[in-house]
Amino acid sequence: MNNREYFAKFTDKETFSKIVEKETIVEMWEMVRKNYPHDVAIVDDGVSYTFSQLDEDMASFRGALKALGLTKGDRVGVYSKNSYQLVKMYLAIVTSGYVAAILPAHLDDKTLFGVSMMFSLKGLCYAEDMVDRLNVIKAMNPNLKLLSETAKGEKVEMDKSTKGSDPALIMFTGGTTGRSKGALLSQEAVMQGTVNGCYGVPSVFKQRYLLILPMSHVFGLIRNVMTSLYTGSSLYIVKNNKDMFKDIAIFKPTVLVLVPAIAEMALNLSRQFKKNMLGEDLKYIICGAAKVAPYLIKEYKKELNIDLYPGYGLTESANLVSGNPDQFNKPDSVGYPYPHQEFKVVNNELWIKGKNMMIGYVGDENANKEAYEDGWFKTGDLVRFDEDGYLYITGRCKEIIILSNGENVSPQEVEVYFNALPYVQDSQIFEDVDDSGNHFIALEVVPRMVELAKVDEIDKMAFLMKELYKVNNSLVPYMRAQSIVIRDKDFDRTPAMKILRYHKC
Amino acid sequence: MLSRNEILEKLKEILVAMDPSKEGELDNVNESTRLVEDLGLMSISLLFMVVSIEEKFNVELGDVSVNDFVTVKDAIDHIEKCLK
Repeated sequence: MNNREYFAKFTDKETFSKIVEKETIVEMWEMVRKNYPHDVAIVDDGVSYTFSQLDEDMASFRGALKALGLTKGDRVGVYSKNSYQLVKMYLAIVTSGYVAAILPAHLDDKTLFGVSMMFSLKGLCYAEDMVDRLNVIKAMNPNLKLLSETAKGEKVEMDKSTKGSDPALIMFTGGTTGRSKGALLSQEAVMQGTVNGCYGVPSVFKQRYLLILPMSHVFGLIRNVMTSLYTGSSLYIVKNNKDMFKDIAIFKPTVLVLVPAIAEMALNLSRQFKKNMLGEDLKYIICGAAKVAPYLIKEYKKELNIDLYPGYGLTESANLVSGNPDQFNKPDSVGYPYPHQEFKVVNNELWIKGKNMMIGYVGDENANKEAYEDGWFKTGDLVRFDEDGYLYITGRCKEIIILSNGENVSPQEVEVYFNALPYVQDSQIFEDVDDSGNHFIALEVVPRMVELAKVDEIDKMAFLMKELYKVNNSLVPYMRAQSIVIRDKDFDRTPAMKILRYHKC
Repeated sequence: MLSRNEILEKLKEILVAMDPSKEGELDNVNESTRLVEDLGLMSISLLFMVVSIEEKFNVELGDVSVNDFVTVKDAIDHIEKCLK
């Protein structure tokens, strides 16, 4: 039995036969615009857009892209918060033979410029409300072709010569080694990830999805947006996370794609206010991007009669590696592997080859050398398989901190900001846990006493702490340390004088 | 109209619901208490707090972001404004 057949028993025959694997996003779009022309594809800011409308807007945007003089394979950034326009820009790029780089909307102007160079972008499509952050890129990278989300051109058909092996997408990632870079995914990898999202659940097509996760994250883009479009479902875009429960009350989603922290919050809120905050129509929660606590699976079923499906994936694997359709019997497992992958476990670390795997990293050549061995991608995750072939994650062998909200924090990347202070000799960002079991990011700093002595302040440590908090508060919120300690002696070090890193969790 | 003290007490109930193990520590919470640095709230807990405020006080906070809430005072100010 191959892996696709394994999932057949969880879905009725007729539905399962409609789950057809596609090689390219172009082929997928051909299918959905033919099958669902008058169905609602996206709801954004109170406006409903049908598949037909989206198809026309994509064609017009492809015309505007073509007018920029781009050539096949050129990389085009997309810089926008979640919106209908972002979906349109992304789809127009990847159906034109270009490569879309979905950039996180929280990038500041300087980082945006840096990323445009790192990814060798030829063009950048942007949302109008991001214009203020384009000044640096305009000045420093004048050859970059800019295109507003509102641009329209003569309608252009999709590039039918697109092949499965063509590059389609660059997703921003810290990767398994921690430095920011891009994972380059092919058309067939994106499609495999998209179709994998259909396996293992009873109801697949014509669902109602809500988009809460950012599209710059593979879980948001592939499992949420792409699988929704592939299945002819409607996707409601949440504009402000604090309004998600009001949006749920209006839209009544049947499927939610959530990180565990949000799933846990929704369960706690439902208990506190003694009502199902996720609405009576919700059947499934697809939960991933961080470890899913088994109690969530049981309590969601018991208290709200909602099936929560845990899964496992990476940016480098176009999101989905495995999903768990047998979650009540195996609540600790991240599931059964999806089709077209090969696995090898080396010193307990999971190595993968497969159709869904990235072509390679962009912007960090050394990262490719470190990430691969004999053509296998080394995930950095420690795993085991059980006798039924189900996968379990037992730990990490790399230094990335994965927060419960799914954000990945690279300690080295955050430490750079603190080490830039002249009063800091060295610093260490690490994951810690308090007495109640809450995990958080902590910082310890070794002061550079020579520099600190020059400061005209009586309480020099209080001054340093103030400076550290200034830096901390300037960081993107999820990267901020919840605890800062100034050490009175150096860190323990390796013979090569590298910091011996804490492993408290 | 609730007084600032009454709002603070209801806010404490929300904070206890978020993490019952911290009930004892919350006695000392006042308007200058910082939500992230002093109470250790993370972005998800701040979101929980904002959603709970709207439910519990039956108010609409409008287009705020969780980053608008640095101290307990900020939360009380927002609630008071909505209750007026």
